Amino acid sequence: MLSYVGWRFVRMLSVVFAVTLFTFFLLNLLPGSPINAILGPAAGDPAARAELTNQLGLNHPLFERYFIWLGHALHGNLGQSYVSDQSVTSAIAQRVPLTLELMIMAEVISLGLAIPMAMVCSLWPDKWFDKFTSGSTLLLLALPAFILGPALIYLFAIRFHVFPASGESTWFTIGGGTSPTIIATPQSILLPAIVLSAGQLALFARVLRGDLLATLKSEFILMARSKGFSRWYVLLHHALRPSSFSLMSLVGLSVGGLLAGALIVENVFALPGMGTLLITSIEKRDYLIVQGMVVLIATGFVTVNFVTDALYGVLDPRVRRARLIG
Amino acid sequence: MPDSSAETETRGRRRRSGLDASVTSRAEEGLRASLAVAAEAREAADLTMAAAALEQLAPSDSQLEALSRDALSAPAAGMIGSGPRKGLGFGFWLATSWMGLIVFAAIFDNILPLPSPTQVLAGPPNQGPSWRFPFGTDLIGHDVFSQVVAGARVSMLIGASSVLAGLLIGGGIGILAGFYRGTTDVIVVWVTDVLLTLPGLILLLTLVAFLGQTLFNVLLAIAILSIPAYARIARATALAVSQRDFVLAALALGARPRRILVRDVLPLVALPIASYAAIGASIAILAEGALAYLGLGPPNSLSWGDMIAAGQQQLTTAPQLTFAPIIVFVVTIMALNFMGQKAGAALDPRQGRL
Repeated sequence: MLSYVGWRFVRMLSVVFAVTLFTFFLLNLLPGSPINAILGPAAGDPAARAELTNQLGLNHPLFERYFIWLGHALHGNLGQSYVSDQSVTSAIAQRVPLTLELMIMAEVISLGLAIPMAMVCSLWPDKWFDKFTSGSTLLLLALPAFILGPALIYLFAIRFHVFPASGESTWFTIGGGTSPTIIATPQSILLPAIVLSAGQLALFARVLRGDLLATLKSEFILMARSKGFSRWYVLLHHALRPSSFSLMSLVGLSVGGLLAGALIVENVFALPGMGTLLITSIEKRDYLIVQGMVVLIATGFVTVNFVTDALYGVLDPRVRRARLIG
Repeated sequence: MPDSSAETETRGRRRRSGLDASVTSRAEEGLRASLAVAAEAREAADLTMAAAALEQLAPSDSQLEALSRDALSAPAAGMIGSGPRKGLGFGFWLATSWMGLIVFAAIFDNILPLPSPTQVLAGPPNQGPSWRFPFGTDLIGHDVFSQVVAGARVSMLIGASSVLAGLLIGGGIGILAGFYRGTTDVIVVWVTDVLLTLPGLILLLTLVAFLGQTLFNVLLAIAILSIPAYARIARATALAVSQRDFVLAALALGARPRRILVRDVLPLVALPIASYAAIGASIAILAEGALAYLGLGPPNSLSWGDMIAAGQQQLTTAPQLTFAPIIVFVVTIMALNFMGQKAGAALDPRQGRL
């Protein structure tokens, strides 16, 4: 048990290590010097150069600098934005809640729809609803957010005024100071969440349908049916739980895809979350924010994967035994 | 006396073989589950997901070994042609013709009898679809159809370069890792693990942000990020193939490893990774589309992603600007996915049985 989780933990750390190394060297090996890249037009100012040289520790050798930077990062100090006068940490912290809000809402929508859909499909396989679901989910899987987004905006915001269009979303802020927390109103985040949930919904429904159909063929289901339980009762009380393992691990594994999707969806709907921050920072060459965000996103993502993997191993003894044999 | 000892021996052997069978079937079950998830994820055309599912394959090397002895030999027989071979079907040829059309547009874009995509007032401004302008015109009279045709070039360039890099570099690395094992394998697995566990789009954004937004850098970044998926498929297949009896037989006959690698392993690994190419191309094209949509593609190039983003600004007044590239883009992605699925099912009998 311990060695399974322990091995996973070492792997997680190695990925985080690789990511920090990767972004650190990308920034430091930029053509010219990172000072020119970060300061841009202000690079001529010797005072700013000296301050940045000091802050980035450019007077130390490259590898030493990496560990200095890592030490700062571990203390939550990712540097200072050179475009706005926020610290990188607070600029990101301001945007995190909206992105999380979007992701949670999308996850709720996709699970809330996928589970009933898969259940209906597995009760009447190859009937019209099943065929419709299999066709439409295949289409949804091929539609990225930047295509589904504009299409749904046109349909629901311009043709029928159900949701606010892109750019008309509303949000409010909590707390004061230079970087208050941003949270979007439910009506302006619903359509983005629907767009974000589409791919997940399709994947979840397909996987759960397959597992349910396999479970419904087992003998204990026949047994339960022969005792006189109705098809719905058997499905809900006997078949659903043993069929949900793949779904559960998929939910964990797809967090990364959901996050990447959220970054695009925010840009489609002009929502002030992490995705728009990342893109505007790239456009403005605010490299320290880009670096900080990539490290944070990667770390968060790898942590979620680790927790999913570990939980999966705890919940399903077959998994950890299989891994230990290997 | 000799009888009974023989009996115990048989019983023991039977018990042992029964145990083997149960281990094998459990391993097979696990492999099957992860392959199913992998197939599902390939449909999703989601690199991360496919990777995560394939990653489930990776640690189960011992399962693969167990499998390879008996389970894999059965599909191998099917490969020779004993099983019913499904045709590729009408849909496959439809998808192929569409891709042919797109490739044609990408190559001969300059000599087609169309108005230049940058010509202002090629027709009356902001018109809906008509015979002369099948996708209409934009607010300053650009012909949207010729813009969409011109946009095929970037997408096809991205698709082709990612497939090329994936097959040659990814396939090569994967085969070497799976065949020779050892340190090479450990390094390849670790590096691909790192690249595959992280969301591909974020890596892509980072690379392009730091390298600079030029067409070459976008091509390079997408090609680099395509390599791990091919490498893992090639590695898993090479690993399984090199456990097979004919490889052992070749070794026993005195063939050198390099000869076995080229003559026996390579042909069997080539098929699965080639069948992944269509899916890989669609993932790469999607990635470029997202990048261009976010405004981080190469500047001044016509790409479907750029067109969608630009059109979205005028969604109320001129919806044709958004929907023309959207439709072509979606049909292209679906055609590639469909081709990939069909090719995968036709070339890899294991998938057909799952």
